[in-house]
Amino acid sequence: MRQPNHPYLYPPLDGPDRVVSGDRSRRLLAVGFECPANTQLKSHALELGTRMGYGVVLLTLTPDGVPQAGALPVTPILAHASAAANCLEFRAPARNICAAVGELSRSLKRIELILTDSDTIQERLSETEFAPVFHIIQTNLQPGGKRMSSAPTTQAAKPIGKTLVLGALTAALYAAVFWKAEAVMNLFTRGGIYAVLPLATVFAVSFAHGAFASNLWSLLGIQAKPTVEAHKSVSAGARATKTKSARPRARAYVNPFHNIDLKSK
Amino acid sequence: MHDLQQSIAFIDLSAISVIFLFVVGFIGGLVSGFIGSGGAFVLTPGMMSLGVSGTVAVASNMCHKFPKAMVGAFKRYKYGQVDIKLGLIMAASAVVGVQAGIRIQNMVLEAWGQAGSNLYVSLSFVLVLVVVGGYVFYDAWKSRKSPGTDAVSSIARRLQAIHLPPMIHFKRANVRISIWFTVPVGFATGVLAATIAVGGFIGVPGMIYVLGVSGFVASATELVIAFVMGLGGSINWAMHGMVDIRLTLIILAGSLLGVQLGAIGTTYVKEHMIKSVMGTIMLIVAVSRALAVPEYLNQLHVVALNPSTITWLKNTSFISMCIALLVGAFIILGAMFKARRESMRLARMQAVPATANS
Repeated sequence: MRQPNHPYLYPPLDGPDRVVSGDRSRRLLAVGFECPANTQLKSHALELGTRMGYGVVLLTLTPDGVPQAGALPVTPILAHASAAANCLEFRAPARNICAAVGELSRSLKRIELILTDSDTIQERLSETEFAPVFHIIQTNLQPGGKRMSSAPTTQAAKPIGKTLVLGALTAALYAAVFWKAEAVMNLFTRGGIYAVLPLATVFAVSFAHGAFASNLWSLLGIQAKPTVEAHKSVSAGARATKTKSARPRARAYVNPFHNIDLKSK
Repeated sequence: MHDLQQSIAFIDLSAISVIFLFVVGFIGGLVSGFIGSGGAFVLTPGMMSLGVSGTVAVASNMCHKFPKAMVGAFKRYKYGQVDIKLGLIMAASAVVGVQAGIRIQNMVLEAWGQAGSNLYVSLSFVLVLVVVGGYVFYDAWKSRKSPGTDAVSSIARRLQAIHLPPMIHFKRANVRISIWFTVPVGFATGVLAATIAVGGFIGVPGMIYVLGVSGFVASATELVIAFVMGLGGSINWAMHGMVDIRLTLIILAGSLLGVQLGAIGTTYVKEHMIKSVMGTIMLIVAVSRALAVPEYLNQLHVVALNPSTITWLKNTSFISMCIALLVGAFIILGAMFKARRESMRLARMQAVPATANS
């Protein structure tokens, strides 16, 4: 296993000594921000890794500009769980998340899946193709517990204000036509160049009312079925940037003195 | 142009008419968003049942169709179901077909008056809906009985094998076929659209069974065609002064809500569901329009019917059209609800082991 080496990736906090049991080639990577809630992500990753027989790699993202020196506190729960899992822990600046995960992916070889508890991290990593990204969410079934989400949890804020504005605009357009319907009909059915009037009207209504209708269904919770529940990918990106390591060359050693018979002299 | 305008009359709108058009617009939009067309086949006779003349019904319907198709196509494009290249080529040939269809419609109106025009529209409806709808329904029934058989039709396979330049590859539809087979399907779509304002009943089955496109892509691409030729047809009808903007806007109010719901529905169902809905609705509406034919024949003095018989036929025609509407909406919403419930059940099943283990 090549040790991760990247200008953006700081060395393991505890070094290779943190590797406790076995040499598990398959790993899961947990990526979270440096905060108290990060402990729950780590403990979940360690427990999951233990159950699956995977090694665990923890990557903590530090706020940009914060000095990187110093070890992270290891909580009792982590210390206990790490006894069973093959665990490595790294830190990297948040702005270099993709570079850091890429380096880990290349150097540790087989990162099978990535866990995170952050929408931002999921979004950033989904753009890359290192491994499937799974978002874990808080559950009330167990205090402090977490579980794998079965659907993307990233949801845009409900567009209530926008819907109201578009609804009002649509209502205004309808009122403008039906207020003097007779005069409008006389004007709109003259034919010829007046054909522009009904066509422009339906275009205007379709933009306002179409956007209103779309937002309305979203507000009511009726949305398209997501086709991709996890951002699966092949590690094409990682392969593309794979660094070549120099092959050891076979060399023959010939003793220049093997034919010299010293005794004969 | 002025002679044509003098032969039409615009109706007075009552509250019931407005509610009826809004509801029919919504359900028509729902069907359109789901199968790519179909709102108009309900709306045209729906308006005619309210007393709107056939020409104004077709013109007003077409004028509401293109913005609805634009919104629906945009929505389904976001779901990756629209082949824009196929849509534009089909639409370009359909625009020519629309012009041909309008000429025929005007000739019929001038030769036989309003009753002749209504009869022509109704007969076209019955003929197309029975033949095409029957086959679509049969295919859907076959696919439902043996899932996974939504294969490319033998006609499409044979046509795709013929190398007749220029050959075109449609990336999203994943089809490579000669333009000489694509254009006639588009032209036929246009002629039918100008006649009964529902080109999709030729366009969607044409793309599925002649070109070999999947049901999802065909129904979504049909919305692009509907937009382009609906715009072309609407310009033509509006220049003749036949668009009743009140009818158009009332229907649009409902259909823009419906079309987006129908588009969302396609993400929940299997492909044969689109064919099932299309075939079922087409056949029921065919019955409805067939019941309206004797009235127009009576107006043309081809047959002599009692006023009570005509009233009974009109009422039955209207009721069967309402049944078609309700059946279509019921199938779509039912399929959506079932698929959504199944999706939620699977999500719960995935969540329980994870929770139990943690």
